[in-house]
Amino acid sequence: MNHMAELSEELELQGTTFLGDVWTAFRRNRLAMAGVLLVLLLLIVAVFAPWIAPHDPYKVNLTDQFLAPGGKYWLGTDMYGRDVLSRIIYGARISLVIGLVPTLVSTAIGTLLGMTAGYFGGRTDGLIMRLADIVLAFPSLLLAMVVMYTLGASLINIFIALSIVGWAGMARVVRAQTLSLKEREFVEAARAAGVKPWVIMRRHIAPNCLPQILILMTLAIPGAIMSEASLSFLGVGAAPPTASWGLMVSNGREYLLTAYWNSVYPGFAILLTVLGFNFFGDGLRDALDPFLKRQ
Amino acid sequence: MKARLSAALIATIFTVALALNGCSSKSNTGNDAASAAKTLTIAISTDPGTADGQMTTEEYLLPLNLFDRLVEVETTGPGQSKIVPGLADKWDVSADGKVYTFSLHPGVKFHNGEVLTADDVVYTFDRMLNPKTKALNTDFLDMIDGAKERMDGKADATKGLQAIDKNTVQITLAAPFAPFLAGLATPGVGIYNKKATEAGGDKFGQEPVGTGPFRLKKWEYNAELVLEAFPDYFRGKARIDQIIAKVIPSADTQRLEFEAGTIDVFDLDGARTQIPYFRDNAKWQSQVVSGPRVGTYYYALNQAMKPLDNLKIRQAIQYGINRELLLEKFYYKTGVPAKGVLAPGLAGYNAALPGFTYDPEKAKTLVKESGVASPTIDIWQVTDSADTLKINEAVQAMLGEIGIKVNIKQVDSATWSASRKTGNQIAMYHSSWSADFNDPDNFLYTFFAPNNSVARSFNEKNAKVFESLDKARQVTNMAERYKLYQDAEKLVVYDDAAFVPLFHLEHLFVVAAKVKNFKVSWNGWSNMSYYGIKVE
Amino acid sequence: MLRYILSRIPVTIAIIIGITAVTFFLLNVVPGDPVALMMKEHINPETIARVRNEMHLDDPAIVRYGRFMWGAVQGDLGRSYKLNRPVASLIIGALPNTLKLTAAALLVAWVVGIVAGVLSAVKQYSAVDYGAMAFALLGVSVPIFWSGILLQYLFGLKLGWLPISGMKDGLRSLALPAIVLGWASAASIARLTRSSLLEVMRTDYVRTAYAKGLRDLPVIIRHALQNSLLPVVTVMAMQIAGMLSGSVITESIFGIGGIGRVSVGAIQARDMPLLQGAVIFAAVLVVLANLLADLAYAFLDPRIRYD
Repeated sequence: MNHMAELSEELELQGTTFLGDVWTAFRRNRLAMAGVLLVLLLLIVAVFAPWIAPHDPYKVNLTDQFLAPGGKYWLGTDMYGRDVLSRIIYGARISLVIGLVPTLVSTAIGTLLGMTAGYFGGRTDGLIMRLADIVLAFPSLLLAMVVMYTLGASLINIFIALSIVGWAGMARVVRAQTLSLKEREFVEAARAAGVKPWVIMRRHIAPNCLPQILILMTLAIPGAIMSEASLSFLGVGAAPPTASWGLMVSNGREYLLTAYWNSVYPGFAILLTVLGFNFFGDGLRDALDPFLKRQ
Repeated sequence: MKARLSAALIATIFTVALALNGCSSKSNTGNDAASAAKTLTIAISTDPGTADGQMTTEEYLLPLNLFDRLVEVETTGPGQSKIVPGLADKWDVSADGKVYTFSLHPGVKFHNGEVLTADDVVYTFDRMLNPKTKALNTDFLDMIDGAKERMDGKADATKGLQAIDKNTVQITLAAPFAPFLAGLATPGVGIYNKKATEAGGDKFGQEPVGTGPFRLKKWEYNAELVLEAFPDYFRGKARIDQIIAKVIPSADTQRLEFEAGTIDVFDLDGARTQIPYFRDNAKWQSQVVSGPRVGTYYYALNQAMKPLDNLKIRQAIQYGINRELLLEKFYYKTGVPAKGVLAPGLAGYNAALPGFTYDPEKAKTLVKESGVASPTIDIWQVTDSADTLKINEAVQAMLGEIGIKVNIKQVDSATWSASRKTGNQIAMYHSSWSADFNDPDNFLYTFFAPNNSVARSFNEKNAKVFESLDKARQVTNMAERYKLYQDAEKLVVYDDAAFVPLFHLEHLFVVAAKVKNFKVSWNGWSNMSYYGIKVE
Repeated sequence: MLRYILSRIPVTIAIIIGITAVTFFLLNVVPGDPVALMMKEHINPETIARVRNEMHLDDPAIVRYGRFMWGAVQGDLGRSYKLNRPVASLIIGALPNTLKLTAAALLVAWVVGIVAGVLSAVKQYSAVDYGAMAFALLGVSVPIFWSGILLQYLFGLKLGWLPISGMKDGLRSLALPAIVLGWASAASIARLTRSSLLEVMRTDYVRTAYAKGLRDLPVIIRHALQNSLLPVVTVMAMQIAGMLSGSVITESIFGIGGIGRVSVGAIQARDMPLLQGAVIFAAVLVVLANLLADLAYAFLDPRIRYD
């Protein structure tokens, strides 16, 4: 763990080599490459949704209710006669946003608080970390449920709930990194030269935490997507008619035996996306691991 | 130390594997023993929490089966009912309609062996009104003389409740109230044993003592309840030995359990989309039992909010909703379009109302005539109600076609109920109402009495409606009363277009072949008395 | 050791107080009227006002928090609005089921996670590695409510091997929910086992063992696995927090009367005192598991002495 600094010095000296080595290690891992492909696929579908989707995902047409896959609707229609495929395609946007926004927010909060706690120590540290302990003590879904109960169901509130739940884990990791980096010569030198703490954090500490943060982020994104699905199941998730995958699976569950396409296809979409991010994150960790630990 | 850890792990796996095998043989013999007793197994989606009918306004499984009331409602035909003797063999009403005298059936035994007396009845009703009880069903008794003082804590007893002798109870009302008797047949006003209830205290709801056909044998919270037949029941012992009510929250799971034969009744209200499956399946179609629900599905229109303050807009909505299509696509034609507030089967129901035919052209014209440029309405609903959302989304599309833009606003139920109460936040909402007791007052007064009309976000202002409703409460001649309610109904639905009737739905159940004599209760509720059921 | 335990107690208490405060204030800023809610459609405005008053709902939040804490230290968590029973007894009643489910799921998670982790570490970058990790990740990639109903359908209805729901058949009843819940937590254990195993395998003494010509399997079992299991034990508390999250849904699907079911029921009925009690209780359970894990770590690892 305390070799981060040397790693960073190395990175500054021979950045291309470092990235090249990580890429080489990463590329060896076929699962990780599969993950990258899945994530790319999600990105493409999300960005180009309006051009790819064959129908309007929100158009209610009761006469086309519960049509089986095939013909005009490749993956069938739901109980309002809406096209399941188009809803899955638009759902990619929502899932991406649900994965990214809370992760970015909680990473920002977690990094800031973690660095502050680790760098200043003492009471600040105690206060922030006890707060993190409190948040971590709640089973995350229960805490998110309570927040949604308080705020009401909507996409924005899901972001808030998942950010509140997510920052604490990030803060812990960043704090631990900061503690060890603080003792490194280049940080002490900067401090001796009178560089302000915030500048030190920004210039020297944050960049060195980056690999760890990146790994945690890639694994937090699928977590957020799954949490949204769970909250939707509990009736406190995204508000219908939002085409969120979680909501589609959860609402379609009722027809599993009579109109399976309502929950099975969005379920596959979640499965592939979550697997994709997990493969990607695990591959990244694997590839970075030897460098993080290198003498 | 660590080696031991992995060894322990492996050992545990073996133990589990062995135990799984062991259990499988044990449970088989268990099932054989259980089938000897005549058992009805049902599923309920939430644990009722309390058997005390005074303390709940919706969980009536236990109040209906563990207790009896002074009078009962008997289902005489599909959606038809009449008031019949319960614990009271007969009753008299004074000429001024204020004094009710009940003669109790002699020698009725409670589950604890005590014999029912007039004191128990007085105690039970007074307990409901006692502010210390914090009862929720006071609405059915608050017309008794002295009830207000008792509820406000200004009196230690309720003046209008008198035990004349061991078997005679006299109840005096503050003013005549014709539906009083029907209200006494509601599940919340079962008769309690004074001694057992006082001894039970806070725990009475969990250790209930009633006179009912069943008594509570076992209650594993959130898992299952076991009710066993009470051998000394005053009308004769039930024909089944026990009822097992399993708490299974998920309708999907209930359905799988039903098909696997582990529960005997599946309530299709929780899974309407499964109606075609069971109705069209050769194995099940003869097992589907259906009965009308004495209730109405509707939209409430708030006249205090734009653009619904405009009569033409409200009328346009009446004609712009395709009730038949909604019934076909979401309820598989298990119901009929509604023409008014009152439901078929309810006393005073008016079959002669014309109803509304779907007429989008007429609706479009009405919207144009209203003079409102691009009318927009927010339909409010609670977030976790999928059934409401189905209707709202479809109606959103239908009203869009006649030129009214609809936004569906979903809020949590706390916000919803608080907003509706103010009367000036919710423009339009979909809901349903089913009869607590068989009287039009239970529908029309509840919705359109001046306070209620605000609290339910109708804001109906028609003085003629208020006048009819008020008068109807005082009149004792039934035909005259019903006429007054029907007048009010016509005004709110046809003249003022305040209330958009949608449909009256059937309540469907699928029942295992071994269960006989399963009848949907008179008002179509999920909770019912299982006294008449047989199991083969 | 004793001093270490004692030193942890004040912190633990502070965290528990923090948990109660966070939960209480989160739940008490909810708009709306719990009394109106508990009476649903069949309401009467006057009754609402009366019952509100009797329940002291019009007092300021801080006063109610004080009242709640005073009750809580005496074991009284208030009464459920909907069920009209003491919250504490409802939670205590639900606890055994939750503990059984959690223990069984933890077992599944460990078995799946450790086996997958070992296989993938030993055969890094091979089909076995990918297959094992993909298998472990599959559990976390499918919504529990979806895999749950599929398993119920297959093993409960079609094959009839296991009960569909309930807890009446002992361990047989536990099998499906434990698989669903445990599999969902197996991925992190597989990751941890895999990475710590890879790390151990790079160390000199394992390499020496290889050089001495031992066969693969004994090397791994004797040296690597022993050292890599320790971190798995220490994340147990985090695992338990995850399990309690998952049990919220698992218990609903499988009709198990545990803490998760109590919380969902409370959410659906907007039963604030019950929800508050269940959430606080679950969090305190995690804090205690954390404490236990720390103590176990200190006890298991002779290198660590906390004084």
